[in-house]
Amino acid sequence: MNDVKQLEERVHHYIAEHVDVPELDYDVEIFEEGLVNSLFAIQLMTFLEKTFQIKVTMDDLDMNNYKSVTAITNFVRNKQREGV
Amino acid sequence: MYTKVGIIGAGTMGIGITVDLLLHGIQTVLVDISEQALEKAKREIVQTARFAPLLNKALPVVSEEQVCSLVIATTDLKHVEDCEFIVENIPEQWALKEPLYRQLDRICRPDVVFGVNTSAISITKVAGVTQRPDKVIGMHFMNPVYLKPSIEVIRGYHTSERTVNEAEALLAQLDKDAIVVNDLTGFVSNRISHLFMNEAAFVVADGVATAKQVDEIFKKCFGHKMGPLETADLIGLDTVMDSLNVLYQEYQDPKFRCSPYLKKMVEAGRLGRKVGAGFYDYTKQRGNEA
Repeated sequence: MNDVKQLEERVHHYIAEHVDVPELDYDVEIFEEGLVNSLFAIQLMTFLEKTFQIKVTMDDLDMNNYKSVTAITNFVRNKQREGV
Repeated sequence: MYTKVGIIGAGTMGIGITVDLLLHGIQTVLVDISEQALEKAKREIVQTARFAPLLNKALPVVSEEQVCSLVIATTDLKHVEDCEFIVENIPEQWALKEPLYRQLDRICRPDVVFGVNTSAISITKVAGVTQRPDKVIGMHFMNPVYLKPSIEVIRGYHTSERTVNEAEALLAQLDKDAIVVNDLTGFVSNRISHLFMNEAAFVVADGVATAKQVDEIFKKCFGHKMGPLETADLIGLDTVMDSLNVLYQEYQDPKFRCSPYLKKMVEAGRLGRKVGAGFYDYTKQRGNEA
């Protein structure tokens, strides 16, 4: 399994633990669909910072970065590329 | 304009109010008897304040440094002596509240208003242990504080109009409205909401419906954001039971009698989200019923 896949699986696993659906699609919009409430965003960002050693900055405070497993994975990958 | 506010109690509500104050540029002195609670609170305050603008676009974006510069966390109550307003959020136990208010009364300037963030205890009773009963007012903030546009404000028997105005002025600085009601145990919100939560526990115990079914009826049929048992889990079943006991004692009305099933859950340590299990199990997947 390559790094991107591992990252995606890690994110998927974390989100799946917090939603009440039998199968979690990678592209489903977790906030829009009401699978998690908005407060989960803060919990999620704290998880991402700790788990992937990234720093969420003021410019990153955009819900589009966190709307789905795919979006979160892309966001984390970009942050890791930036080296922050 | 208020520039420095004292927050007593660094639990969930104390943290939430502190975040809201500092996001509105108000310096906060956060007091708790536990160093450990303060350390945890500081971490949560920083994270919540940094990320809150994601959820409420009206809030300013702040850095960790800005957050830290606006919050003084201390175990020494004397540090609130130059605060212009106090909001107290300690547990709903009279044995803790009474000595605290006597101390605050000695430490704070005589013109300082005490906001009692209680969900059940009478504001008039709290005011009675101070030398400033006209300056004591109930301020029942709801969680998450920085996302709520209104709060339940309670006028005690002696609360002056000026104190109501001062509380409204502080709330206006936080972009909040006050819904001002009169003082009687449980006020409006908890006197009604706890009947829902308690009766929901009876319904589950009687085998009429599962916890999930009860909550779904409230959400899908009544349009509530959360069901009563999810709410009870979020508040903490021990806290719900404590509030029911206060309501029962004060009104002497059997309608507030705590469900034996709820009591059993508390005794079994199933206190809700904070311990990972209550009416629902939070250790695996959200929504798994207990």
